[in-house]
Order: sequence, then structure tokens, then C-alpha cells
Amino acid sequence: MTPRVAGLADSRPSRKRIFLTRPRVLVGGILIAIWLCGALLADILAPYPPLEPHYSHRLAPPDAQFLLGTDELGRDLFSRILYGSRISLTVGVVAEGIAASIGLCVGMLAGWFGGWIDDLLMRVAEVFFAIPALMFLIVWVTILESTPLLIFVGLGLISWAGLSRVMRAQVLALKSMEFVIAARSIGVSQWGIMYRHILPNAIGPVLVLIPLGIGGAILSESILSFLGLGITIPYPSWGSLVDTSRNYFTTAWWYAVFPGAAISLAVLGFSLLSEGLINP
Amino acid sequence: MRPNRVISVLVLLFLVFGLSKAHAQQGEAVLRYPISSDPEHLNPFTATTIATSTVLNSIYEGLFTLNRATGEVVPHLAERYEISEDKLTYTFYLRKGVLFHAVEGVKYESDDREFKTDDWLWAAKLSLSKDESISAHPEWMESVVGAADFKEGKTTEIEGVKIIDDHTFELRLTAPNRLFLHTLGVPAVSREAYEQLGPDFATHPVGTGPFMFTEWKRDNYLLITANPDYWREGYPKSSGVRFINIPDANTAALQYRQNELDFLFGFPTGQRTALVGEFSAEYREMPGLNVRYFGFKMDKGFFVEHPKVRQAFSHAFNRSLVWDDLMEGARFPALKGVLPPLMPASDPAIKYDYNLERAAELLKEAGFPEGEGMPPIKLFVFASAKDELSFPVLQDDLKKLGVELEIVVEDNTTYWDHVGTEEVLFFLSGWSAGQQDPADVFNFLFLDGRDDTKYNNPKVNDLLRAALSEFDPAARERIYQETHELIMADAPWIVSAYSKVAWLQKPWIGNFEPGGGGTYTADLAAVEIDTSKRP
Amino acid sequence: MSRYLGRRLLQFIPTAFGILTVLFILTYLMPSDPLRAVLGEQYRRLPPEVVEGIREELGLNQPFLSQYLGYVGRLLRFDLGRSYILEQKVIDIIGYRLPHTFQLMLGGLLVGGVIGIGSGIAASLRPGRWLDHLLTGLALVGASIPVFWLALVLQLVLTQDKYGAALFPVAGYESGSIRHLALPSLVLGLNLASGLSRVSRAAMIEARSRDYNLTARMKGLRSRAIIQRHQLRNALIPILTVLSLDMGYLLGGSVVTETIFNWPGLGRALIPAIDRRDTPVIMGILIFGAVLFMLINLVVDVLYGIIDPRIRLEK
Repeated sequence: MTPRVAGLADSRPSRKRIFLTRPRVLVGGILIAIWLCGALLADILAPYPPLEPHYSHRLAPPDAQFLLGTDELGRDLFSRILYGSRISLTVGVVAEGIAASIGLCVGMLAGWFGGWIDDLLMRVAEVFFAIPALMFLIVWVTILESTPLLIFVGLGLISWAGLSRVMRAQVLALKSMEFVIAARSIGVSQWGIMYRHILPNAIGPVLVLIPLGIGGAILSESILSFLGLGITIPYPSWGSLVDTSRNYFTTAWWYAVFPGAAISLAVLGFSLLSEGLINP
Repeated sequence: MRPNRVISVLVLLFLVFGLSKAHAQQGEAVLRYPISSDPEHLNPFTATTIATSTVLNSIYEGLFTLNRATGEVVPHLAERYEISEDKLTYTFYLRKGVLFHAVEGVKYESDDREFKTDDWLWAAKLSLSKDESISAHPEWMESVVGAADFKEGKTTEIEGVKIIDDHTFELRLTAPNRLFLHTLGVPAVSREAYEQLGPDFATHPVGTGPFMFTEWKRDNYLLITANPDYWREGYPKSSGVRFINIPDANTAALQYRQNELDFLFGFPTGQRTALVGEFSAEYREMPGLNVRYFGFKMDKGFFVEHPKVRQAFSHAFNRSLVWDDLMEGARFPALKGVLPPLMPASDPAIKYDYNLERAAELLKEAGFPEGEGMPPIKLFVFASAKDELSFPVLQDDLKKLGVELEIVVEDNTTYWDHVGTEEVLFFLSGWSAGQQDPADVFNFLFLDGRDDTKYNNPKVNDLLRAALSEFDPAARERIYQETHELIMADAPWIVSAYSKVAWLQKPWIGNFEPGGGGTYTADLAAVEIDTSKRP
Repeated sequence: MSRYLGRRLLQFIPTAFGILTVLFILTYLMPSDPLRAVLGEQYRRLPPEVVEGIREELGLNQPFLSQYLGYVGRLLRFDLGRSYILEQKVIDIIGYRLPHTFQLMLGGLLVGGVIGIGSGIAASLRPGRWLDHLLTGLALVGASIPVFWLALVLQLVLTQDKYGAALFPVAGYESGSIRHLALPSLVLGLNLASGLSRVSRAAMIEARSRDYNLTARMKGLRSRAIIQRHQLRNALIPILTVLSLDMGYLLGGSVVTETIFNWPGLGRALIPAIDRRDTPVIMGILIFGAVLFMLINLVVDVLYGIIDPRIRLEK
């Protein structure tokens, strides 16, 4: 849903300075770091097990005992959001990882070989580009059940086409550069050139788009959850939390607000990172 | 093209689309009735869902209706009927002057729209069609002599039907069947409409009922209006019903609050107390005929060999916590047996109260002290019940016994495909009875293993067959009581809850009286509306 | 121009065929028993022979290839088949809903276009100043909020006297009623606006840095006129690109918005069709959505050529 802007990262400041000179990268990085810590350290940070009910504290508002309040069974919302971040972040990272791998390979092959391979691969990319993503995912999930792995694969399958186009454009531009021609002339194999010369030089603009894609995948999973098709095993993703909380919008505001805010903050972190990297 | 021009073209298009038609209909006496899903179509011969019945109940009529309070059959289009001594021959006397709806595009010979015996016979024959796309209801006529031969195409007439004149006919049954009039669902359908409308008949119903089909905008609304020729004097009381499609209970509640609806039939989980409090004067409730349960597979797998585990589970489920507290009274906790409490014989001596100590004891007797040695147990749940808090509580309760329960939520279709297979040993399910008769639960779920539990007890089967031909209510109740005890002892279910029929109606609505089957059973022709009070 | 168009149309055919194949395989794999799906627990009321008979009649017991070839054959005659359940032709189902979806898309585009492009231009006027930071920040935050969450909050605040002001009807469609259209359009539009805002800001800044601005100023044009005539025209291409991509989003996003606001459009029909395993309807909607999206992109490509004649010569 977020448009992918193909920007060429031409000037490359050193990695250390990126964070200091670009506030958006800094803020985005911090947000992501917080969530990553939350996900990794959920076992330590969560005050309660995410599935433990406290019936007498059902739908309790935020207080000292339950930081962000409780849900309809009196389960601690803070703990549930922490554990949920594991699912949601994994969805984002793995799905986008799949998309980026497919996109890089397809873009590389299409750009390098050209001719009918290019035509064929770009038609395939067009197919996956034209199918409305959400509709595809809904069908995908119903066929194959909402197991986490299949949701990752589905999300990856439907979102690689844009990346492959960016990659292809990069490869096309590099193909005629002198160092490539030189490498060819001294007999470096095609695959060697692709791996050693093209890939490292072409990958930059694709990489900066990845955080944006991760955010998109998190949002997509939340929409699937809202339609009742999200991940609920072993504990609910953020999207599923928002989905159940829909019933309590008017009676327990904290239940409606915090999971939604968790999604927004994570997605915001990833978009800031991408934005900052694309536009200095 | 400049951007500002692009924008002004867009604005223009928007207005043209937007303003194409104005709307009206505030002051009319049309009931605004929410439905949570559209009917699939409106063909009474292939109609199988509640969504369809909700609408068709007001358009088509049968020879009998059910008394909503007692569940007994009441003559309707049949003015009266007689049953022979041997309970095999029924004589029906049709009401005179019942007219089919006058609808554009449907012509009648010499303009005679009256419903007569040959109309009924035509519909009865059609219902026995072998082609499932024509009729899905062979059961309506299956007890009549010769129905099977007719269905197979061996005869052109149904042997057991005898037409005496335009308003009188006789049916002969193969065996005495006290539920015959309940299952005899053949409606009064306009043959002319069926033949002249062709495929359109499925969306343009023509019957004799209090309301006539008027307009259907799918996923939006379906409008029926008062039949001016209706045979019941003074009915219908309103000038029409607008069935408004609102799948989500949250949205319906918001619309009810803003006076966009006259009724609210579903309470979103978690807002029940709040809504009942906010609209306490508009709240109505009565016990219903649906039962919710967790079923054990009773033909194969772990639970067959361990009746004590089944009983232990039944003791280990805190129904009152779930239904009274967590679900805010959405249903009645099932503290009795498998039958909804409105039915006779619904209070067996064997019961399973919430008793964790007893459950732990039973588990120990079964050879699994504190859950040791239990195989992993999966509970299968269908997605539309995902807001139901019964299974997390069961999971928690079983954990206290040392039993780990894994919950598998599947989308509805996958679930129903899955539940009959050997993979599923433990599942959430439910059943809606149509009337207050124990047979409507027992015969569909406990006779010959028809339930997905595959529970099949020869003793139970014999008793249920005997009850079918037992015409004396008291004797019948004794048989059902005995059956009920047998089932409870075997514990094929953890009975979870009995339904509650509950709704909100605006103060300007009167005489809305549904039965235990659900709000859709109400006779909409009787509902009164005071438009002067409606804002 | 016509050769360009012809080449684009030729590329269209294999892509459309690819889409068809991918979608058919997907829906074929769907475990399918429409009748059971519709009936739920009440299927036990139907005699078993009826259930089996209906399965056979729907052709569900045929092998993959014959089902696929049959479908393609019918599609070439513009026959999308009949719904298993609804006693309706798929083409009628789509024909009835399409105008509703279009209205919503148009509404969303209008709201999104005005807010997005407007705020983008406003932010681009003085890059790096507080207004720019504010608007860019808002756009980023806007893009991070799940659309259904925004819809639910707005529905509560803008339609209920109890929680805000009842400015709009809660949900539903009424032909000709702008009041019913307003809220769903707002939700869709706000979601679009964030992306559009960022792109138009960048495009405007980019356009301003070009030489022709200097020329224009030297011609003595006032800056307002420069913005209108020169910069906007040049910024239009990236904006159009994003808009055309957004169309795909609008089509897909309509599932959520239409579901929340009970809007009888295409997306709203998809979910029940999937619940009922009504394969012809699912296929029809998905193919239609994909082809529509491709067509929109084609039109946009042609528009590029009109706006900037140089593009036609490329490739």
C-alpha cells in the first residue's frame, strides 16, 4: 500500500554517521530497537504470562498492577502486546525477506540476461503486481489456513514485484559500466560478475526499501487479522489483538488503543528508517 | 490537462454519481429490521438457511404454523384436519379465499389467484424432485405412501395422495408418525409464477403470505410490502418490512443507537451489559432452543476408551463463570442436560456440576493422576465462535487438572469439513432445535450416530424409535427422560450453554413475539408500529 | 502513439493469462464444499443424499485440467459462470456492485487528492520549515495507522451523539446520498493522502530545482503562475504514477472499508463468497480487480504520453 519510490542512493555517508546526521534514521532506529528488545526479552520483561487469566480483574483499566490494563479474560495487555510483537515483527521481517530475495533474484536475472528471459520474468512480475494484494492474501490464507509460515510466504509472494523492478533498473544501469565490461573481458564467469560486481553495487536502493516493506507487511497482517484471518497461535499478533478489541471500543478504551498504537509505532519506526535512508 | 482541472472534473463526476437520486421513506410504517447476512436466494424449495427463512416466513405460508409458546402445530392455510383411528390417514380442509400475490408479469387462468388443492399437490410433487437444484426438501413428503417411488420416477402420481375437491385432500402415511405435521413443510407457492418467471423465480417469490416481495438490493436491503388481499382480516399491521443487511453486531448497535433501526438482535461480545443498561426499557429476553457443547468423538480415538476422562472434563468446566460473568449473560450456563430447558424431559438426574476435586478424582480413576500420561489434546473451534470465551476458560480449567489443551481455530468451512473426520476428537459445536420437542435434538444428534461425535447407542436408538410413534405426551416424556439419562451417563458432550433469545426494540414497536427458535420466528404480520413516535 | 499503444496492449494478453492461471490454481486448491459452508451446524438437517447430489452437480468432482480448460473457454466468451449459491450470474454480481465500488474509489481519490496533493504542495513551498515538518510528520504517522482502526474510530466519533457528533449515517448505502458516501471516502482518502503528500512534496521540490523556473521568472511570471503552469505540470508524472498504484490499493482496500461501512461493493462480496466457498464469484471478483488495475495503469501510461511527449519515444 505504501508506494515504493525508487531513489538512487548515490552518496553514501559512512554507517556511523548516518544515525547522527539524519534524525529520521535515528528516531526510526530507536523505535525499532525498542520493539526488538521487547520481542527478544518478552520472557523477562512481561510481568505476567500472556495467556494467564485473572477473572476478577477482567477489563481493568491501566494501573500499577496492570500497566496497560487487562483484556476480556483479565489477561495483562502489556504482556500480550510484548509477546504479540514477536509474531508481528517476525511476520514483517520474514515476509519482506522472502519478497526481497525473490525480487533481487528476478531483477538480477532479468536485467543481466535481457532478451526473452527479461520479457518472461517481467510479465510474471506484472502478474503479481496486478493482482490486488489484499484480495490475494485473503484467498491464500483461507486455502492454506492461517499458520504463521504460510502467511509469511503469501505476503512475500505478493510483494516482490516492485523490488524486482528496482533491482532490474539498477542492473541495467551497471551492465554497461566499464568495470563490468573489463571483468568480462578478462574472462570472469557471468555468475561471478553478477555475484561479485553487480550485486554489491546494485543492492543499495533495494535495501533502503526493505524497512518500508517490513512496515507494510505488518500492516497487511493486521488487516488480515481484522478480517478474522490473522495469526493467533501460540499467542495473538497485534492485529488479532485489535480485532478482538473491536468489541470493547466503547467499553474499554485501553484495549482498543494500545494494540493499535503498537502497530502504528512499529510501522512508523520502519517508515522513518526507510525515508531517512532514501532522502538524506 | 492541468491539475486543478483534473480536480474539478473529479468533483463534477462525484456530484453526478452522488446526486443521481434523492431518497425518502421516513414517515411510512415500514419496519427497519436488521439481518446479519443476506438470504442466498428466495426459492422456498431450495432454501435451507435461517437467513432465507427470515424473509420467506413472511412471504410463503404452509398448511400449519407452530404455536411459538408451546411448539404445537396450529392450522393455518388448512382450516382444519382429521386423523384416522389408525393414525395413518390425514384429511385436510383448505381455507377458502386465500389468494396468491398479484404480481406484475404473472398471469393466472381467468384471473383466478386462489390457492387450491392442485396448487398444493404441484408443490408437493416438486419437492420430491430428484434434482437437488430444484428441491432440497424430500423430507417434507417422505412419510407419505408412494413418495419414494414417485421420487425415483417409477410413478407419475404419489400413491398416498387423494384429491377430493378444490379444498379437500387426503394423505396416507407408511407408518404412524406423530411429527408428520411438523415435517410437512410444503408451502403454498404460485405455480404460475414458478413457470412464468423461470430463473427469476429464485429472486422473485410469489406466495400467499402477509407481505409481498418488492425489491432486493443485495448486501444492502430487501423490501417487502403489505399484501392488500391477505386473508387474515386486519393483517399485516405494518405497511412493510425493510430487511437491512448489517453483518457486524457492533455496527448494528451503533445504528440502533442513532435510530436507524427499529430492532437490535445481536449484542456484540463485551457490550452486552452496557447496551442492556443503556436501553433497559427496550430490552426483551426469553429462553431459546439452541444448545452449545464440546463434543467427544465416540467411535474412534482416545475418548472412546476413557469415559471417566469425558466425565472429568465435564466436571472441570466453569460454565457459570463463562456465561454469567465473562460473556455477560449471552446464554444460560448449561447446568442440566443436553436438552434446552424449554423442552420436556430436560432435567436429568445425572448432571455434571463444576467440581474440580471430583474431576481430579475421576481422572485418577481413569489412570491419569494429575494429567500424567494424557496424550496431547486438541480442541477444534470454528472461526465464527472465536469471540466466545468458553474455550479459553476450559483450557485454563483443564490446566488446573494438569491437562494441556491446544485450541485450533479453523474457518467455518474448513471446520465443518474437518469435524466429521478421525483427526478431530474434541470439538466445539452447537445445535438449534426448531420446536420444543426433544425429538428435534435427539433425532438429529443421537439417533444412529448422526452427530459429529458419532455417538451410537443401540438402546438410545430403540427408545427414540419407540418415541416417534408414541402419541401419548406423558408416556413419551418418560421415554425421553430415560433416553436423556442414558446419554448423560455416557457423557459424549460437555454441555456448555443454552441459548437466550434477546433483543432490543424501539418503544414505537409493539407485539413482536418470537419463539425459542430465535427472533426470526416472530410473526411480522402482527408487529405494530406507531410512526408518530418514531423520530 | 498508436504503435506504443499497440505494443502495450500486446503485453496485456500474456499478463492477463498469467493472472488467470495463478488465480485459478489458488481457488482450485481451496477445500470446497459450498453447501456445508452455508449450512454450518444445520447441515445435519439435510438428508445426506441431497448434500452429495449438490456436490456432483457443481462439477466439483472433475479433474483440475478439465475444470481449468472449461473455465478459460467460458471466459473467452465473456462468461464468468454462475454463483454456486446465490442463483445469480457472476457478471450480474459484479455489474451490480462495480458502480458502488467506483463511487467509493472516486470519493477516496477526491478526498485523498485534495488533502494529499494540497498538503504536499504546501509543505514543498518552504522545505525545512515548521509547516513542512508538521505536514511530513503527519503524513508519516497517517501511513502508519491501520486503515480499519482509523475507520472504527471515525465511525464512533462522527456518527454517534454519545461519543462525538452524529454528522454522518453509521453505515449503509443509499443511492444518491452523499452523506452515506462521505465517511467511507474520508477513511479511504486519508489513507491515500499520506502517500500522495510525500510524493507531491518531493516532486514539487524536484520540479522547482529545474532551469525552466529561472526562465519563467525572467519572463516576468509571478510565482503563483509558475507554480501552476510549470512546476505542477512537471510534478504531475510522479503523482500520476502513485495515483495509478493507489488504484490497486483502493480496489483491495475497499474490502475493509466496504465491510466496516456495509457498502455493497465488490470487496464486500469477496468475504462472504470465500466463506461460502463460492469459487466462480471469488474468481470473477479477483480477475476483474486485476484486469481493472492493469487497465488503469495502461490509461495512465497513455496519459504520460499526453503530458510529456518525450516518454512516447523512449524504449
